[in-house]
Amino acid sequence: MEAKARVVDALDIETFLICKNEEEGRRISAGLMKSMGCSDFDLVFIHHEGIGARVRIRAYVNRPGDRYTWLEGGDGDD
Amino acid sequence: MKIVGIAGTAKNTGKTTTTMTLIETACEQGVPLAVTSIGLDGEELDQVTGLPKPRLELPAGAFLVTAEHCISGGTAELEVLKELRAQTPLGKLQLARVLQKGRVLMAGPNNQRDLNEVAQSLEGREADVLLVDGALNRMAPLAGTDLFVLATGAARSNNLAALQRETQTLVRVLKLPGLPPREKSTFSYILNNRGIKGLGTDSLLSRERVERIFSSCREVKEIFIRGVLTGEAFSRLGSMINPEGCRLIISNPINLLLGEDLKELDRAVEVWQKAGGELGVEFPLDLRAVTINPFFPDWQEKGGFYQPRYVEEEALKRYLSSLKVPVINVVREGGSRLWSTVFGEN
Amino acid sequence: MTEKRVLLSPLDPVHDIGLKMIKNALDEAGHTTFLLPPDVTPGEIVEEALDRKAEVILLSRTLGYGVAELLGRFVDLVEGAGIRHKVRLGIGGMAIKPEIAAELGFDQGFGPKTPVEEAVAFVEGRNYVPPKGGKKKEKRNLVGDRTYAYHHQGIRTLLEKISEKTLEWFDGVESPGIRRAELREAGLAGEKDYLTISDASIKDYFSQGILPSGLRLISPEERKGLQDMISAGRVENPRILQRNPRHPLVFIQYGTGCPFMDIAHIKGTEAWGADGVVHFDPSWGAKTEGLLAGLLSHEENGSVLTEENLELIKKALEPSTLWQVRAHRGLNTPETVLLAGEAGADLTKINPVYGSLGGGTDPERLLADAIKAMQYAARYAMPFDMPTNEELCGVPAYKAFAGMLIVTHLGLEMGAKPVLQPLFCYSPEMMLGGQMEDNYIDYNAAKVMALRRIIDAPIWAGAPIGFLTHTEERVQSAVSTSFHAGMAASLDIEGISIASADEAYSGGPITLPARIDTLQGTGEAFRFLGSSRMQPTSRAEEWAEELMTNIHGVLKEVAENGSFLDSLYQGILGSQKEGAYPGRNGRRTVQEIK
Repeated sequence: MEAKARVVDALDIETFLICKNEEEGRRISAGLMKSMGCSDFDLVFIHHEGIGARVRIRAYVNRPGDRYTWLEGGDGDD
Repeated sequence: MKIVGIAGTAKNTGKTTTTMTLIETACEQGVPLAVTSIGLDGEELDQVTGLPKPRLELPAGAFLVTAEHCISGGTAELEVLKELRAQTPLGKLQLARVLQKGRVLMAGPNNQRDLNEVAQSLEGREADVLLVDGALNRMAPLAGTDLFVLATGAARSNNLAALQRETQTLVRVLKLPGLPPREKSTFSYILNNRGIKGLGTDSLLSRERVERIFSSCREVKEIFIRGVLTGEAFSRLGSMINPEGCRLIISNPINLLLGEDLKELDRAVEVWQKAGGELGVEFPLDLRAVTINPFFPDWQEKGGFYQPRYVEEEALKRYLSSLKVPVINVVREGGSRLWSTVFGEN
Repeated sequence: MTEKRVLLSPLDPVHDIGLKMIKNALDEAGHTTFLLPPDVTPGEIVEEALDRKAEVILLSRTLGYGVAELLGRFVDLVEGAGIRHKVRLGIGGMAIKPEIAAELGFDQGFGPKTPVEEAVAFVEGRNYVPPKGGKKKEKRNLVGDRTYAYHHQGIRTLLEKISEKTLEWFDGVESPGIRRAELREAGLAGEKDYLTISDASIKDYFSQGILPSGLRLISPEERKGLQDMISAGRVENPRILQRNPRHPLVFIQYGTGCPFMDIAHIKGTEAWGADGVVHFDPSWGAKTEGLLAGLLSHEENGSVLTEENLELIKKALEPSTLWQVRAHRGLNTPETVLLAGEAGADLTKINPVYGSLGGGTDPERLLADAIKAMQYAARYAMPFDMPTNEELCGVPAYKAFAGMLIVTHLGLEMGAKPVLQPLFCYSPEMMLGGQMEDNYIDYNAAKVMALRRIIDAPIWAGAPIGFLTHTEERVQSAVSTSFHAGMAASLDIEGISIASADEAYSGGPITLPARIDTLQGTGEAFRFLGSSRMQPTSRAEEWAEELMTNIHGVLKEVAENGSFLDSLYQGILGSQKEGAYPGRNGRRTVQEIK
């Protein structure tokens, strides 16, 4: 089972992005998630002031009702 | 100068791609042109779906009308010639000319009256064609254009049979013939044996309104609607008065398309015409082509975002080939067919 | 202004509070408003607009699947109905902005943070001009109107006696730290005389350009990039955390090693409400005689003290930000205060008791240097705070406070403005004594109560508040800070230093989001309390009395000993048994003036 499969529901990325405005912050957040191979993501929180934006970006791995990756068996933590 | 309206049935149906193809062809053929949009075009990502949008590029010499805050939003070098009166959320409209080709950001007039001002500002300038890019499913500002192109496709519905039925209705309405009202009137009226009577409202939006107005009418010679007639109201009208021999005239075909239920409208038209009613518009539109796009943004209810997807191109074309208007896959068939269809002899 | 007929339609039942607020403001301004119920169709809105002869329609709706098309059809209907040129259309809601309004065909879009006045201006056809200076953040004075009047005359008498003897001693001594500061004042920093009394590493740098390991010079390009970032990222609307004039100023410590990262952290924390920032220098600086020069980056914790680094940081600060440069330990304290004063710092930090018993510097050396540093602090009008972090080594609070009060009196004698800094912490004394087994409020409150009953001096709780209550888990850490901030707000103190949510993590540098976490928590604590207060139990009163008695006792002992300095070595202000070890850096470097 790959490591990501063990994520119960989602990964949150809590960070601060240097950017000109909230709009750019949103774009960077989306780009960051795509670059990390996450397609099911959401920007939970963003606030821009001054040099950048505080963000919480969330990538869902398992949503309620999914076939949960952590039930699919396998071992190891590659 | 010919004004071409490029309207869509929804977001992502290919309006801007159609507009861009017309711009490129005009450029190849050396036709001087002007461009504007009734919404916002030329941004990198769609404001609503967050998906990439087709870029809007203009050649040197082209005119464009865009809002103040959009002037420096592209890469094209622009010379602002005139500030117009019309206001938008992004500032006042500006008439500009492209000095050096490049991308532009375009937010233009959001209503018919402001579009008229745009057309006037181009009078006496070197532009044979004004292309007006639509926005979303909005059409009303384009009601006064000379030539009309309708963009539709999977973004409107990826159920191709449903898309076919709906497009048939749209084409049927958009091609309604001109029918001059007997009375020159600035208000909606009913004409019967006793003479002309004002409706008391410009638009018939609901069933209830129709019931109130037509409760004592049965035989009517002519009805003129300056405003909107929805499918719901039309359907009730057809059952309250005797359509036979009655001329029903709407100001323009778009005013028939603004209700919620196109199926109901289609049935109402059918019933009206079968019963011997005449249906026409004061100002007909010249629908030249339907352009089709297999792309659709797939809403992911779970993630709350849109994913780009496509329907099969051939199937889409097949479904829409029965329309009584040229159907063009712009990306596949190229600009020259689109151009000759839009500007050729009808 | 002509009165307008305004139709308001909340297409979103959940978010119609904004529309209701706008309606109230419009009613108050004399307009006629019609608020529609939620769940109406575009057709129904247009019917209403026709019936009511509306001149403005305001909709609120959150964007989502198919909503754009719904709104587009609404705009079309208005036009089809023939009233588009008579009616102005506004749309508000989450994710709405001018670009979306343009795409939808509206005349204006209102985002979630739109002031009600902006919507009113739209209705009235005016341009909205945001009010200027309404809630502009101003730099606040930490000392406020504290008078430094003693309320405890017995303690006052003892402090005067101890102070007099100490200053007598100071007048007869000199140290390399004092001498270098004087050379720097004369513009001779880095010159021959300066280098003869500096360490080899400093000499090597000035004479041969060899940088100590772990340091590198910052390039002009890096500097340019930073300046661009700062000028583009001015903090227009810094958050104001305080909800009440008596809520304390909030300080954060920076010291990532690199002035660039420091500045990124400063700009981020300024935006999120920090009132002041504390320059945190690297620990090795405390063992070195002499200061470096130039724009220097460092890969360890702490940012190198140089004139150029300080200048760069000063330029990056917002005008409202208080700036402190620490000088509480080490061999360069007078020079540091001098540099700080020249660079335009607002505050400094001096406490020879903690610096020598818990900071590794020799008591004799630090006491001499600290008194000189206080003179500079007075000259540059920089109040200095006195951290009592020896408490963390195990020294009981009353002993640390006795030392702090001696330094307070010395500072006042030098013409400076000392700021008391008790710790809000779960100290070893508490762990052994059990005073915090039930709650974290009583003992911390007792500390403030005791100090207030001795002298009317400003109090800045440190550093950081909640010391030793934090864990590596960020919510626990931020919440603990926020509760301690709430306690500080309840005790009417002037300032607090707050940790980041990384306080208990020692595996790497602190991150900016971790700093923002605790600023958010602190703001929430102030919001939560407003003008109300947390209530200590009666134990606080007992402990405050006990603290005062014990402080008095310690000061008597020092006075009896006759020498403040000797008392430091003898453990009267914290013994080796308690964990206080007189430092050795700079031992035997103080000379009598011949």
